Amino acid sequence: MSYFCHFNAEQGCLRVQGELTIYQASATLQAFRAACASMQLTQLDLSQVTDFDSAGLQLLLALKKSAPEVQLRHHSDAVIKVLSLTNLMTELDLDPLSGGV
Amino acid sequence: MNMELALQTFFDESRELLTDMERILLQLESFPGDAELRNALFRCVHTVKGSAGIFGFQHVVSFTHVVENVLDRLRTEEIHLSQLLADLLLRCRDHISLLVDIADPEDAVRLASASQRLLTELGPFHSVTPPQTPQAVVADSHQQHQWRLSVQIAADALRFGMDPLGFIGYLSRLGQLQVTTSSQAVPCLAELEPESCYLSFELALTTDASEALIKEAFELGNDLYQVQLECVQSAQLAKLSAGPPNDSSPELLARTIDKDAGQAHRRKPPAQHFRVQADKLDRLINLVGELVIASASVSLNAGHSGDAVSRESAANLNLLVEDIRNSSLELRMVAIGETFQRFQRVVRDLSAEIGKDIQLDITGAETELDKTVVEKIGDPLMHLVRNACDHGIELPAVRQQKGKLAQGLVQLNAYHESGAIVIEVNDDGNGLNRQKILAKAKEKHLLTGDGHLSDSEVFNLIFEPGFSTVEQVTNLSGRGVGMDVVKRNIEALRGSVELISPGTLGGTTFRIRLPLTLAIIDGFLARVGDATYVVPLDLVVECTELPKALCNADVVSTSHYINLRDEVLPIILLREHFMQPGTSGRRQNIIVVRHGAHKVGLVVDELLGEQQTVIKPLSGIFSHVKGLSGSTILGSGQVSLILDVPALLQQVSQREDSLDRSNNRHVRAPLAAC
Repeated sequence: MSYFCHFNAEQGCLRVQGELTIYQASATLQAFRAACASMQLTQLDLSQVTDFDSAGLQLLLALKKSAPEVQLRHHSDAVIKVLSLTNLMTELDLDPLSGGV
Repeated sequence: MNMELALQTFFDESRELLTDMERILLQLESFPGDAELRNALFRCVHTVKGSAGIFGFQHVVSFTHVVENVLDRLRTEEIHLSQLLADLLLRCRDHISLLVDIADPEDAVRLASASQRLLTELGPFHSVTPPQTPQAVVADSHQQHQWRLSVQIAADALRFGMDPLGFIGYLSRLGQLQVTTSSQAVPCLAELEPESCYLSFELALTTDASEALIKEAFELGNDLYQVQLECVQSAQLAKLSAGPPNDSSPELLARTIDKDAGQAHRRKPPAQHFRVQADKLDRLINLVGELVIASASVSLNAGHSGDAVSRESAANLNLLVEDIRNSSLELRMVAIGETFQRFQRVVRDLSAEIGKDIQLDITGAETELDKTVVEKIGDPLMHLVRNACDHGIELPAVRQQKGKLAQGLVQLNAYHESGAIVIEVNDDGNGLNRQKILAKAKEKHLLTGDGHLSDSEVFNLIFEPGFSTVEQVTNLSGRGVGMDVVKRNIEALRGSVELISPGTLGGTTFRIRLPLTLAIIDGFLARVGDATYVVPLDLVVECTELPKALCNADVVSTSHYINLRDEVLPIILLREHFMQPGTSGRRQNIIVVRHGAHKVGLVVDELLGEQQTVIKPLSGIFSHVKGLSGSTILGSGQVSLILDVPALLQQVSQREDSLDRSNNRHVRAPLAAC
């Protein structure tokens, strides 16, 4: 499968690989909830996200709402495209000028 | 306001205005001097044009603009309403109605040639200034407008595969787009439904694209998106433009003010209306129906409990429910006038086509009946009116020979009669020719044997499928379809139709009887053996006890008649009629019911009294059972059958006829087998 969620507890880093769309939304939500529950999540690596839609966007927004301290990092092109279209770059840790943190 | 809703309002309003326009035009033909009518005519078209402009229906605007111009000249008496112009304007009205219905400018191309033809015909009546609208449209398309959109998205949108990113992407390609995403509604992880949509958007779009093009963004997810679209301003406001919504030329501005004044004038009448969706109303009526059943059950239980207090409460509740029922049914009542009015145009066009001079008289236009009935009676009425014009009324020359006025008269009349509405179509023409009908019926093998038929039986033959007497088949009527369809349509509404000749005006009279409502009736409940039957209360004339001497079943069932205060009353033994087992009790009662001119007594075991009744249709397997029109649920949960009194009466008269025949000629007619 093109989707994979990996949580590195030591680094507190959760990485989503592949598509982050409505088809993976439930699974990703479970991963997010588990990672938050472990109290060790500090950052989310988006570099490997190949496809991104509104359901994915909502997941990131919800994550930010539940755990504002978690940093979103290494936004992939797919993510950047959606964030700039919806004008949500600052909310989701994307520097509008540099195009990534 | 929701865009969809606003658009619906536009369609409704335009349809109303165009109906007005037709009515006024026809009136104006009779009273060409009436300045108020001419003004009203102008306002109709002007308002249609204005609203169409707001929605960006340029094809409507550019056509109505010319018509408006002609009407404006008519208003200021620069030109006069000739027969030719009246015809032309009526055709223009029809065309505008087509244009409005099409709505989508893309499809309007199909009508472009028709538009052009009419515009050319309007040419001579048109003022010297050429229409500026077409140019304005072109100019319009080069203008940058700023639009503000507010988009609410249904929670299920994502599940249906609609991603809001789709329309944002589309809009961003139309022009300069600024998006504000509202994410407050997105909950925290614990509460997130991953497949529900929580987002909504505020968009500002600067573009030269048309409104229709913008709307296309939401075409796919029509019911999932709630879009408010608003044109904030034109980028080049100073530029003169006839294109709405920014009418800024002095002439148009003056008219806009005039229009406002006109609207204020129109809004004056005290009766205020507001629109309700028909299906909401239907739901209310259904609920009221259930409420009626539930409240019947409450009073039944209260009665059984023997507790005086709950009985009183139940009685109170019953009164209220009855009020609610009456007022909610009233909501559905509409005057038949509007339906009648439509026929003015039909008769006018028809008489021109067939070279007759016919006037249509309308009486009882304010008579109200159920909305669904009104909708369904239009087609049958159309047949009858056309029939009256085509077959009934003679050619002017023939009429003069007979010493009648050259102008024929067709009359539509409506009135209430014992819980039913009666609609009559009268004409002062030929009347029916009994011999001709009989001959035709034999030729078409509709009639077997040579039994003597009464006048009404002969006349009713024309309702048989495939019957037509007119030698020359015109394209209007007389193809032998129609009359049987008319009858079937009316019977589907639980109504009946009869034919009287010579009628009220000397020609033919079609008399249609329809129930006032199709949903809930006041019923009269009666028991026969274990079964209960409901008779529509409006049809009940009186109840009386069957004389003891007649209680012996043999006497009654052989005679079929009783003497009620020196009047011969045919009776139906319901027990026998519906072949119920068991024997009748010692005491029996008669319910005397009336439909039209006929009366019949229904013999039952016990009278149970008045009961509000919600009519439920009977399933198809009962369709062959004659004499039942539906079923209902009683408070006890028991099912009771509603008697179809007209059908019962018909059976009685058939029974009489067959008895006559068997007595006189020893022939049993097939009709008796019911």
